[in-house]
Amino acid sequence: MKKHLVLALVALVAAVVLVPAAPAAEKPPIKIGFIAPKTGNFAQFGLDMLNGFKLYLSEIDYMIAGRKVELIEEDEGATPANAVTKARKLIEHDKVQLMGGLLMAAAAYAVAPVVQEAGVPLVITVAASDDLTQRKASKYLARVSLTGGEHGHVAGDYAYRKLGWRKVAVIAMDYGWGHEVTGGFQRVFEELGGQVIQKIWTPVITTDFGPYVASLKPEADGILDVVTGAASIRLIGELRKAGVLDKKKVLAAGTATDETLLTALGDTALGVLTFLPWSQALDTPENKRFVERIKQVTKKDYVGFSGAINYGAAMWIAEAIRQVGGDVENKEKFFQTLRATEIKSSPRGPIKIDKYGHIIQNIYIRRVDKVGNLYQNTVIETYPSVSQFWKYNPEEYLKQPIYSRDNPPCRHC
Amino acid sequence: MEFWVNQTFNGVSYAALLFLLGGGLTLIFGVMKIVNIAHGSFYLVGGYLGVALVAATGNFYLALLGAALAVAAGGVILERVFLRAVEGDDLRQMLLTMGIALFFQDACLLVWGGDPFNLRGPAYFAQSVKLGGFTFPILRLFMIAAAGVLFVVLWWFQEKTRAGAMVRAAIDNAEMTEALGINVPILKMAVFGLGAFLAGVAGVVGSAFMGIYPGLDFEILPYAFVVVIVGGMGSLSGAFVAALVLGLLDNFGKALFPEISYFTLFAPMAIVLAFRPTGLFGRA
Repeated sequence: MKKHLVLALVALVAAVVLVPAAPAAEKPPIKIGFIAPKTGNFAQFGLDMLNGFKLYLSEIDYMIAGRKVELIEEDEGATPANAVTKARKLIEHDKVQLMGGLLMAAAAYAVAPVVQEAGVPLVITVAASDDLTQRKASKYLARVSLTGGEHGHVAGDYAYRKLGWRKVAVIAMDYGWGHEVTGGFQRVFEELGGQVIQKIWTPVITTDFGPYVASLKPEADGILDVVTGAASIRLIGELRKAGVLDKKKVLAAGTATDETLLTALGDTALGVLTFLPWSQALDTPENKRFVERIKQVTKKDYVGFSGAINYGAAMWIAEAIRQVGGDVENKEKFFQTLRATEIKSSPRGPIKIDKYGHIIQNIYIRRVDKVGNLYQNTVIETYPSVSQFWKYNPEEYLKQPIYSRDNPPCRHC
Repeated sequence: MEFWVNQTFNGVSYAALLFLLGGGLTLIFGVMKIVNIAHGSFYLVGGYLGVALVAATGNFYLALLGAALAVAAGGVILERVFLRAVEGDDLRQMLLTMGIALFFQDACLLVWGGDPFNLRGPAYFAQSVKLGGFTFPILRLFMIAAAGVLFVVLWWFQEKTRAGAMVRAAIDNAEMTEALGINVPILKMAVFGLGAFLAGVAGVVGSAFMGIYPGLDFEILPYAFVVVIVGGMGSLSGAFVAALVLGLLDNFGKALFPEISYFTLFAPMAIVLAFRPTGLFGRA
């Protein structure tokens, strides 16, 4: 009787020791929620985001640290309220361990407190508003996209030092991105000694840029353009037709010549300089490989930047999950690891996160060129490891109000 | 001097676009008393078809005609099959056009994707002519010419032809017109088709001017309505004058006082509505 008992015990122990893989394989999948627009005017943008994010996951067969990854996609829709509903659904119903995505700043501001409350890490992969990782930073939030201010700083430095501009006229969209890029530009440019002599704020929906272009001050050395999306086609077309582009250089926030717009822009944009943390033409092995792969998914010649930065975001998230050995249930440790995670190479370059949760990344100065039959954003200069606070002390920087229409004020207008 | 000439020219060319947008809407509004929310969709579909036809034929003018005719045919079918079914019920008709608009919004996204297109006109559209020291972009000249020709043809049709007289009669009193033995349902179908045709033309010309992308349908709709409201519903001459006034006001407003550019188009509308609720040329 005793013998049998001993045998049974031995068998039990053997079973536990010899088949260690069995309990591990039973670990439930890691659930990642992803919110991006799938309907409405930004549906294409959302699709590009998802294509990039999913491309990386499919390259690793949706397996990280021995655990399956389940991606749950939700439509961001057109209003912040909708994004919040979807975020709650992902948290309460799907019980996701991490949330990613978000295109619109308003949606990101609305979702951040919800995920904060639930203690679910949120990785913003596009929404660019400065304060998400500055004055309104929240603990469980990290952002691997870009901010307006950070881009403005770089542009201000480049315009003064490399382009030799001293007087600049600005034409920018009258909303957060326009205000923040312009504000960052003006601060750095004027501290170096330059002058912003004109700021034209254009409504987000502007059908005709003719009157604005005709009223640009002729004494400006160059023009800063912070107009994005399809409106950029009109503005650059108008600058070309009015002859401004033949006389002066235009420095534009990079989304103005995003690869998805290059066909529509055509020859009008040749020579326009832009700044962004990525370019399809970026000549690194990682980027070439990425472009090759994503083209197989999209079947298009041109790859938008949102695909590229979302691919990088997925790489970075996966690396963090590997570093905690797949133990995403330990929220605190997972999130600390996430913020500390660095990757040396991704399509856009290295990725690491500052203590406020925003990415430190390369920003590239690009020029629209035509190579063969295709247009491209040729990288002509790299600003490595740019912080969202530029060279300023973060604490002092944050004491100032956020960049806006009138901050900094236009002293030389 | 250069500033004033340039800005006036810009304003007039913008007015041309506004007239193309609003002209079709005002015709439809006048005869059918329909608030056609789908007008922006006609514009959108016209633009996308234009892009596709330019790519296929390489000829801008052929594409312009083809796209506008296709949109007109579509308009006729929509009127015959859907709108007539709820004739006389304003609210239902409006909701129906709203539904049509939403349908085409997603259909276009499905067919053409979400990346913006720019309609490539003939090479000379990108050039300018110099006249007396001033520069005039040819595309803008073309817009003015297109709007001018269409206005003259439509005005002549409406004021000088028998069919035009029937249309005017239907605008004033549809029941009486019908009692006189004029086939008003056919008239309505034709006018709806004509309005859609104009929206299609506007779509092709507009896409050459400002590109085409998802969401443009609802972006341009308010502009079309402003022209109709200021000009007076159903009045072609009203739409023409309103477009001209609004185009110039908007242009000079933006150029001289960029900080009030949100109001330059809609403030005149509010003022006109306050003092002449029927619009400049409208009849109660």
